[in-house]
Amino acid sequence: MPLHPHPLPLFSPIVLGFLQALSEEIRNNSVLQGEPLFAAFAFWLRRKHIEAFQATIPDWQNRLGRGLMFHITPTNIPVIFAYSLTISLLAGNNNIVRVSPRIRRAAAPLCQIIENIWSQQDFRVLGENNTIITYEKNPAIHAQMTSVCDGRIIWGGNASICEIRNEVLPPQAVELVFADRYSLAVFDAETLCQCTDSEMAVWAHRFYNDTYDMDQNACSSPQLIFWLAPRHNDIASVQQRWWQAVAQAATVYNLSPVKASGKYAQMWTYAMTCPTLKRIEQFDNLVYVYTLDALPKDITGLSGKFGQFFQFTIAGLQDFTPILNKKVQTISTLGLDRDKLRSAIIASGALGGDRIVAVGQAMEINVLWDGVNMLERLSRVIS
Amino acid sequence: MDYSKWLSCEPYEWKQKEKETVYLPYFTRLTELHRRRCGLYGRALAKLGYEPLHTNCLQDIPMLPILLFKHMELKSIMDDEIFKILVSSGTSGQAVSQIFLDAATARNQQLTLFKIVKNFLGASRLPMMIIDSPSVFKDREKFTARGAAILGFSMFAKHRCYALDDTMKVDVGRIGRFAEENRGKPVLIFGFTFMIWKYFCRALQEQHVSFDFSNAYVLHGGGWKKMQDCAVSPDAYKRRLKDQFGIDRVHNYYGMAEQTGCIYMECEYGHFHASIFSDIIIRNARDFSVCPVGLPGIIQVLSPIAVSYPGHSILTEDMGTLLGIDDCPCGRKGKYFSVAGRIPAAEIRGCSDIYGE
Repeated sequence: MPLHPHPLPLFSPIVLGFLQALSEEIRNNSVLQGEPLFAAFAFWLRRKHIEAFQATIPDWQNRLGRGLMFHITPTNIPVIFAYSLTISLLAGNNNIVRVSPRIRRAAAPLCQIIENIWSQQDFRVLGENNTIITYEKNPAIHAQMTSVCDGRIIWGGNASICEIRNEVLPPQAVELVFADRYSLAVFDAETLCQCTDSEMAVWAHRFYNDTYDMDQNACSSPQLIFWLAPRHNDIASVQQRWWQAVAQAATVYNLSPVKASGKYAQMWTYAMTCPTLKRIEQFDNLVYVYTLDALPKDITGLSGKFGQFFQFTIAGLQDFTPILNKKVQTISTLGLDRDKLRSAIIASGALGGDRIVAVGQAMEINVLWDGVNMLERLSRVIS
Repeated sequence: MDYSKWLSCEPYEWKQKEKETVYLPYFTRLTELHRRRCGLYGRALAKLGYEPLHTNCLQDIPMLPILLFKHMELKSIMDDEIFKILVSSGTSGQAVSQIFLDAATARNQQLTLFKIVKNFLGASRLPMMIIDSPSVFKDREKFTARGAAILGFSMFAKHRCYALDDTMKVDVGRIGRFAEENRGKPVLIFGFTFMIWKYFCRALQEQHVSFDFSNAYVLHGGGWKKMQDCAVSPDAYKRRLKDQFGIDRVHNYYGMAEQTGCIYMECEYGHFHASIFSDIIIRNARDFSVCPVGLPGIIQVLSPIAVSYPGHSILTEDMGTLLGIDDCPCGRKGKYFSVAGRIPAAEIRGCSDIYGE
């Protein structure tokens, strides 16, 4: 364990070198190269993309890492730990990364690659200052790690965050937590009306990647779709075309019996208990669409897994910004001007809405996450 | 609703085609009854766009996911008509299903069970040994499915004897007396699949005692999940009962608290049979299309008895395969099938879960 932290500058050559080596090794690894999650990570690591993060933090050359970061990473995606580690390394830190025993097997090839590179002469320093560990949930270990770290990163579950927060951090340590969030989308109805069938199919495919790829269970996957239709034209027909295109894109989805059955039960529950629900449409069992005729006070209860979407029509952004509560994270857009939407959110003083991306980019991990620049938070500026 | 007339029919005499001719109008009316009487159910049908006029075949009858009985109070009767609330025997901490029965529904469940089981045991009542503890009835507040099954099958009992004491320990003395008193006479041994295995077969073996029950019928149900956990196949289960007690006549049954009474008995060929008192449809998970013979899918169950609560058409959480229609070598008409057990769990992706389960 790295007991005497030795921070590095941001984007230090040794880290950049390591990340390039890592990207190549993943792409050449016979086990990982066919795995979309890992392939996407390897692609994310390409040099140009990594260096583009420098633009998010103009004073990066005046900065240094904070010291030792302790990461507690998710159990159900075997690659998030590596993103967490990468970003913290870029910010100049030494790291202890906890990988859950539940995903240790899936994560093992990647851990192996990382450790192999660290054992090479050029990267030995990284091997000495960083470690990936696996242990069963254990408050005593959390407490010990917490007591020696300069910062802690917790990848959510609200209950888990609260539990881990019982372990008090040293006074100067920083903390990054990724709580349970809720995401939605805004579509410009007119843009979709103008789409040809093949353009529609491309958008639907991107939307599929944002949602079904993670069983619609990722914080950034949209649950609720706002149709922006200033003129009350016939929106039902374009909606119908859209969902049909999504159903078409979703034919590749592995809808196993347990998912189909859980989803069906959720649909009946909404049908019985959601007072603002106007009608439900089913496109086989692949897509369930819930059309609302009013919004509940808290929209974040409107959520489903495995391809269930709520939709609501609005006349303008002034109908949209008031519903953005603290839990809202990503807003995926289609046919909307990002700057205009951002200005509307700022002008309205909304508590939520951290991230605006085009449909298709909801799942892309960025150093800007949950309204925070992680590189900035995990480093210190020498003014 | 003229269900009582069916009770005078033989349980396996209807061919599938005639059965569906009777079922379709009956189930369409029953759906309509629940739509009017059960507010939650009616609201759901409206939102789902159910059109009774478009019901052209049995598979068009809407199916309610079984999970909802755990979260919702679903009843099609007034509160003063409630005769019993049946509770599924979930393990502690789990939500349990609540099934609201009026007197007529409860009676029809009993009579139906009697008709079905009689077809296998014959008419006369038998001395019955229950592989359970009488303490299952201690909690008078809750009428559990386990208790309900015991009471239900007790109709076939000349007299009853419990094989386990209040602490779930096997009572060797009592079993011995039961075996002694009924030597050479047919008897009925009833219990939950797993309990027979653990508290009867294994418990007696551990005590190095054995009895001759070659004159017995064994009826068991409740699911195969725990048996799968200890890697015991249906064949191994039967073989064990044969080797340990000389029992040849072992019948498993498939059924659930949400549709008590109309159980699916296993025939001499190891097939579960739908009687005239209920039916099954196997559904493809992808689009709920109907699976043909031989293709596994999710089991939907239909019960004409469910009048006091909207459970006449339920999508279960079990997987099964239709094996044939009207042509089982045992001679019983209608559909016969196999049950593969609970829908297998799968890894669900997602983020923000650092501990998982």
